[in-house]
Amino acid sequence: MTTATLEKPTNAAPAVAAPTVRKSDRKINLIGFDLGTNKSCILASQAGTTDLAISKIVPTVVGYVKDGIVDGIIAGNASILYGEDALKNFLHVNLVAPLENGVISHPEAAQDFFRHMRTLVDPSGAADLRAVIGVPANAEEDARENIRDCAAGVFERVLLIPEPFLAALGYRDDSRLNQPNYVDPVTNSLFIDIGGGTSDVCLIQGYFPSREDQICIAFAGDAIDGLIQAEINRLYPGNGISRQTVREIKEAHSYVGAIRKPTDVKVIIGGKARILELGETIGQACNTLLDRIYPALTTLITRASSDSVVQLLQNIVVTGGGSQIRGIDTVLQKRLTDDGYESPKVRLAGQDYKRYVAMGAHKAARAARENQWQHVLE
Amino acid sequence: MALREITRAMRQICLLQETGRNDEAARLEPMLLDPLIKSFRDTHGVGALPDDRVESLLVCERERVGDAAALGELLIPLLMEHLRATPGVGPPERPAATQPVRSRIPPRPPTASPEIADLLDGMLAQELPQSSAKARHHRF
Repeated sequence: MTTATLEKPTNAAPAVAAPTVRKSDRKINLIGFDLGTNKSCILASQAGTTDLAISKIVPTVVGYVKDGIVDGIIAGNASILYGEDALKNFLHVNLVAPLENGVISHPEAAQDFFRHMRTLVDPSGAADLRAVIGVPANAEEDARENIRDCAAGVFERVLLIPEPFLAALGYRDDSRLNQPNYVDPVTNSLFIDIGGGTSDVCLIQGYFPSREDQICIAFAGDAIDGLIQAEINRLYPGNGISRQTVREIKEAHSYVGAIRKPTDVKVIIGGKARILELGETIGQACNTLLDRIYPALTTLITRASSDSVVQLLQNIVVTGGGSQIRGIDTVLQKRLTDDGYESPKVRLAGQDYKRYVAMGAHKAARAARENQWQHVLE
Repeated sequence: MALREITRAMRQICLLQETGRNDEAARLEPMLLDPLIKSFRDTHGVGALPDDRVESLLVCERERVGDAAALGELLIPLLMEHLRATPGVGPPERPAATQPVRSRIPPRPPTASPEIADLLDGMLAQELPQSSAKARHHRF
């Protein structure tokens, strides 16, 4: 999300209601939280149950209502809006994106966003919330500390786990683990998680991946939007097309591989419809992503043991928003084949790509032992 | 007692793998570990030690050896420093090991699906040394 307005928020977020029951009596809610640069996903259930109580995807954006907005314009006369509500009321709020490149860049907005997430899960404020939160692969300690700071006072306990690993865990079909032909993605796979801020590549082979098994590339969906917008501005000066519109164009027309022309896109400029030919612009921007990911992929392939690498090559999975780029699986697979890799198979995560990280985080929350949870100090 | 022997054999194999002696590890498995497992099952029944339990024990021992190696990486330089600083104590002067030799031999992926909680133990074990030392990371 890049429509950030940098005006400092003037209204503090309402405090979360203090619990009024004894700590020992409080229900425990287990949360899987994919904190994405552009979109976050939260799954929650009560401890000891299997039913998901909450499953939501929320744009990671906070809108602080501007001064002077007439009563009744904003529902409930709220002073802060979140997610879709903030985006819908973009004319009346200052939009702030709490994250940039996968890490928190506006701590106050991030805290407000976290509090909003808590309210979604536990409107009463009485429950004990334990959250597994996805972080980019190899996130630096200060980035992790920022997340813990935001979690303080919102979640009682947290676990921060790299997102590509959580994606593999979420992607894993638990009902098929005992089937002889089913290859558990947590046992031997390479996951490529292409989000808004970062693209993470992770080698997962039955043990928790070390830092050397993960590569984080600070080039992903937002960077593609930037390239496309810069080229549109060069080709069609003064077009006034917003970043949000560029993102929509990308999502509708993105592809990798050979340039596809013509790709005609209808846009509204100055109130009038115009057709822009953007085939080469979009293709080059998306191919840039591929050129950044491919070396990371081959680096991690070399780290796998010789006994496992052939099967590993059959289990390369692309997930995240970038998995929607047309042809990304076939082009990556072809590149690997052309470079001599043995029968590689690259596949897309599928329809649930938006939820796999949160699903994995939720599974981890349900499986974590008591002594593995980390208390968050206020 | 027999189970302890099995875990000891596993630890030995993992240690050989950890130190890059994969060939020796590969030889030890059929020679030492398999007969111990067979003997245990003959005595107590297959149900007493199913394959997924064997795998789970192996994961534990692998992590234990990994943790010990990580601890060794931290302690060895400190011990060497201490011994050099203390007169008349310790072995004769030798060039300090700035980085203990630790070849990264990728372990074989397990045949059985690992438990999530065990994986989390592995993650938390990695975080311990990194809280005091900056870890390397790749950036493209």
